[in-house]
Amino acid sequence: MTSFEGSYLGASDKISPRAIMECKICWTPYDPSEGDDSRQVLPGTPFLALPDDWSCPGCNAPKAQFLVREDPGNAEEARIEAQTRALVADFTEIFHAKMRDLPMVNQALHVQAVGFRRHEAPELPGTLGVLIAPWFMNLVLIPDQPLALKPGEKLTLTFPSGAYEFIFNTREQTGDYLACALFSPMGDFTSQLQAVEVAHAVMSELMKSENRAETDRSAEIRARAEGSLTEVAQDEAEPSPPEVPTLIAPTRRALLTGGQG
Amino acid sequence: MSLVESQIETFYEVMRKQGITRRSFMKYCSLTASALGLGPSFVPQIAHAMETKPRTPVIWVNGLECTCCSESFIRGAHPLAKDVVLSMISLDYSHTLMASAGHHAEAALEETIEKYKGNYILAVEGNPPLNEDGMFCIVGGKPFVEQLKRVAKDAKAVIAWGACASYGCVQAAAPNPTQATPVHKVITDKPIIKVPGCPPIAEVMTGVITYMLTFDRLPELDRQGRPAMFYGQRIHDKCYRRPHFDAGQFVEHWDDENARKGYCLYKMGCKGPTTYNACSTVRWNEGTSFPIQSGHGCIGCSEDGFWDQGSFYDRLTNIKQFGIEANADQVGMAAAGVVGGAVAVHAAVSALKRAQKKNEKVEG
Repeated sequence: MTSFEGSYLGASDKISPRAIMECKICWTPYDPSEGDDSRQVLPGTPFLALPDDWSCPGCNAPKAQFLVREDPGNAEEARIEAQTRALVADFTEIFHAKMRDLPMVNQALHVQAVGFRRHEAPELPGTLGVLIAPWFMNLVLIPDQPLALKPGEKLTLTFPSGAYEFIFNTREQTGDYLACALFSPMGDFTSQLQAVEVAHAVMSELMKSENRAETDRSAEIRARAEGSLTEVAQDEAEPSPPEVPTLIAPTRRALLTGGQG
Repeated sequence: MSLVESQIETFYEVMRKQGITRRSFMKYCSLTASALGLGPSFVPQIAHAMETKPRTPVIWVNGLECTCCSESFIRGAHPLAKDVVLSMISLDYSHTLMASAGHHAEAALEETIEKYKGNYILAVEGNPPLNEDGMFCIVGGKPFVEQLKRVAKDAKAVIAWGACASYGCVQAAAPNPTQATPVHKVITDKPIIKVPGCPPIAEVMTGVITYMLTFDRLPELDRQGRPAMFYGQRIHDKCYRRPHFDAGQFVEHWDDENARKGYCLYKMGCKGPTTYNACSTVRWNEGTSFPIQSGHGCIGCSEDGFWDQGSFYDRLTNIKQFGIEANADQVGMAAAGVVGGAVAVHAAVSALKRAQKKNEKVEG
């Protein structure tokens, strides 16, 4: 791909279902709300759902030669991109200004934000992703709302794989963010590619419940202690008086007939 | 009492023998309740359980050491060490804590070994010196190493308290004239759980013991034999000064403006980035503070050979995350030299497991 290519070239993760595309050769647009009469494509069909052999109705240019005219579904993505751009710029600046010559910094790496996406947690919605820097790799959550915390304060967030303690910080450029340390220092990563791959894996493994580590199980210890104590209490409870067979006075009739009548 | 005839006497009987009053006993019961997160209504039940249930005997031996582990243990305030000593476990032999002394004490040790063969837990504080046939540490007229081997033979499991028992600590520092040797190099045929630190955190010590007594097995250990739930995270990972590290804000001189602001102590020689311990999460003295919070870097006292790692104020330079340290999650990514999906996933999963919160909060 040359740097002036411009067309979307099948990068389906970059465009939303609502994207309006246009041919880069004859400028024929494709608007999902109108569809394409010439190929009996119904209105409401996203550009990505068009048949593989679909081509430009005007000039027959292949589908991959279309480019994005406007993408209203992508406002969210644009916001996330702005957030990560600020984050990366902020930490790149820290790297150049303060970290560059420290011996523990891994010079093979550079600052990169990986896998940032919307995180819809009821208690704290925000943007979640992994931030790689030459001196750390952190899980970072940028909350939607500013938090009433002081830098250094901790907040526990729960994911399917377990509970994680995040440390709050705020910076001028990035704003409020919560970070959970994954790696630091980064001496064992030999390349940026390796770090990025691990970061991607982190984002998917985070959401899997089988990755829960063993805890001190104090809740279970307590439950057991309570259980054994109740047992003792039950043993101790007054033994119920032995069942005395109640003697019912036989009726005169029963006595005379021996229970037969 | 219903279980008087049982082979192992109850905790209460032992306490009475030691001259502890009923009143103090009830007090210990209420401390135990709070340690387990139980309400006051459970106190009578705990008292009853202690009067009737057989206890787990613990033999606590001391080699070359400074008693800081014992001090930490008995001063543990929240999951009260006192009540753990006196209620959940029973120390049948402990130089520091037991009432008897001299021949009487040594006889008590023999008696305990015989009586609870294969059932007791051996807690070792300090380590045996092996040079000159162990003559640098004599207990009851014999080298400590002999006592250690004798007691360990019939133990169910061995707990190595502190940096001394786990790694050797200061007495094993170069040139180690007495040839002080950590416990796992002397006792090789028993499960050994290492609880390093100089001393270990009281809550960690009681947590380990409570776990072992409740589930009757060792907690999950890392590659170095430490309980992963307390030694799985580096101080650095959960340090409240971590945001300053990430942002490159460091203390450059003692008592400079940055020190007053509470910036990161890495440049002042903090060993937090290489030290696995629970100080930054559990903290000390009922969660009040820990060294970094008081303004001094971590000296890495729970790591192997911390006396021989140069000055406490030398800046860490060559740090490997999972290569040299060989902790639980040795990944060998660099060694493998490949960028492979499985390796990346493994690294990611171990990092996540390490980062997870291990101490459960018990409500009530």
